[in-house]
Amino acid sequence: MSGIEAVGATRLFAGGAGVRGVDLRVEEGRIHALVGLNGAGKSTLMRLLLGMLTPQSGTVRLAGLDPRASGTALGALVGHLVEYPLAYGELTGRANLELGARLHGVAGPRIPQTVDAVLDELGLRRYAEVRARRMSLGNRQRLGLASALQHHPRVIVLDEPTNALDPSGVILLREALLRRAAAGAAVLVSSHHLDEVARIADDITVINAGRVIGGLTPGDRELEHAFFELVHADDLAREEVPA
Amino acid sequence: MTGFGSALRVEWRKARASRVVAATALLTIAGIATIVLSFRGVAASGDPQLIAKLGEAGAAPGWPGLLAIALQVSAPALLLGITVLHSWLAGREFADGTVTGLYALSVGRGQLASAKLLLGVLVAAGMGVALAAVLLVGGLLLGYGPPATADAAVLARVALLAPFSAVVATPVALAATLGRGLLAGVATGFVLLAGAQVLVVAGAGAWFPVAAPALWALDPASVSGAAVAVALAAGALVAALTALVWRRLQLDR
Repeated sequence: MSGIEAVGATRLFAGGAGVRGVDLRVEEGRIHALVGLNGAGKSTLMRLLLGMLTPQSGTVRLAGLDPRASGTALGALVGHLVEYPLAYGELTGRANLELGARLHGVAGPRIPQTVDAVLDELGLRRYAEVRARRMSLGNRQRLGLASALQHHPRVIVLDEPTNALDPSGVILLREALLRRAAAGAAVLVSSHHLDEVARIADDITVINAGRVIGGLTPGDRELEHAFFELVHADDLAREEVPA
Repeated sequence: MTGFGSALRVEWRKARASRVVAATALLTIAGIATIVLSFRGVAASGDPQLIAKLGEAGAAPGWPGLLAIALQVSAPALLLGITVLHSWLAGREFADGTVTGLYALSVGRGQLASAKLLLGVLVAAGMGVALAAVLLVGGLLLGYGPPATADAAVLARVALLAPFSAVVATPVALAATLGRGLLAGVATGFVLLAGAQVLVVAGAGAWFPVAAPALWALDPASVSGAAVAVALAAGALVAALTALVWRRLQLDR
């Protein structure tokens, strides 16, 4: 499995929050949306997948590698944005992207063309020489997404990527993800609602109270209704059978 | 380029663009220079009460008096400035939320932490050289003439005091890491400073690593080579531990 895989992944925090026994597979060339309400466990699962947390039980793999044990091998293979964009306020848009490219193992001579390409792709050209601290929240998010995608990783993990993006930013992101998936990347995006990116997914998994509770059929006209029905049914079931 | 080379390059680029690093270095040097030159003004005033407060060495004329005051003032002031540097370099990633972006990279977090610590020492070295230069110019402007060999040696020790202090202050970076922010590092710097004062008075002297740089700069003959080696080794050990904590870091709180 060279995409994204979680098998029985569990990580619980004091108070019971976290994820328990999550199974998830994202094949290469597919976009997979992870949807759930706030606090459902989406960010925790993404942190597990990226090695920010160690699972208490179960396994996670990115591009076939254990993210906690693979050292720097994942750098060129993975692009991600979880919670905050990798954008330093004192650096310009271009400098931030150059830094991100270097951190993801792009060779020095290739960095300028890599940065130029993503500046155009995500509509950031006019912010290239603007310090990140002077950018709007949406443009900082766009910068973080550019940093995560510019090295054309085989595995992409984005937590609520449309946060603060304007409609044009959402469209640019959606197209960028479709291009990368078409080129063979495994893409996992999370969202607390069925936004534009979730709607382009090939597969949709619903997470609630730290567990995978089912999937949705992309393209279904009643997607939102089906989502809330699943979550509501799960909430009712948990009330009847306390954990 | 190696992973560590890339890490150092990345951290240098951030530090170079940062106002925090430049302002900390500038304010620390300007503060020390202002205090030292003000005290020299007091010594020159001839007021016996004020001169008594400066002590015999500080009231001495010319270079010896200026450098005696500089050594007294520089040790704690540099440690405080370096505390801000180490704390910011390590703690900002948590405060700014950028730490989540430092996973699954071609450069290891341990390498990034090592680069931050080395950069702290290098910036401190630059601060030391700049401080020595400011004191040299100040002494020349006060009409002391070129420093004698013994006075030049003290100036060199003032320059070396800064990077030496940066090495023994590595617990600040470890605290900023464990505390997930800047404040834990800053608080640790204050504890180290106060601890050094208390332990020196209690007789531990240069065997307490944080006190070693100041005591060595004041009087190298009174500090054994072993005590200096212990201080440097302790700083390096904490630096290695900090890098290990970064390498194994989990974002679980």
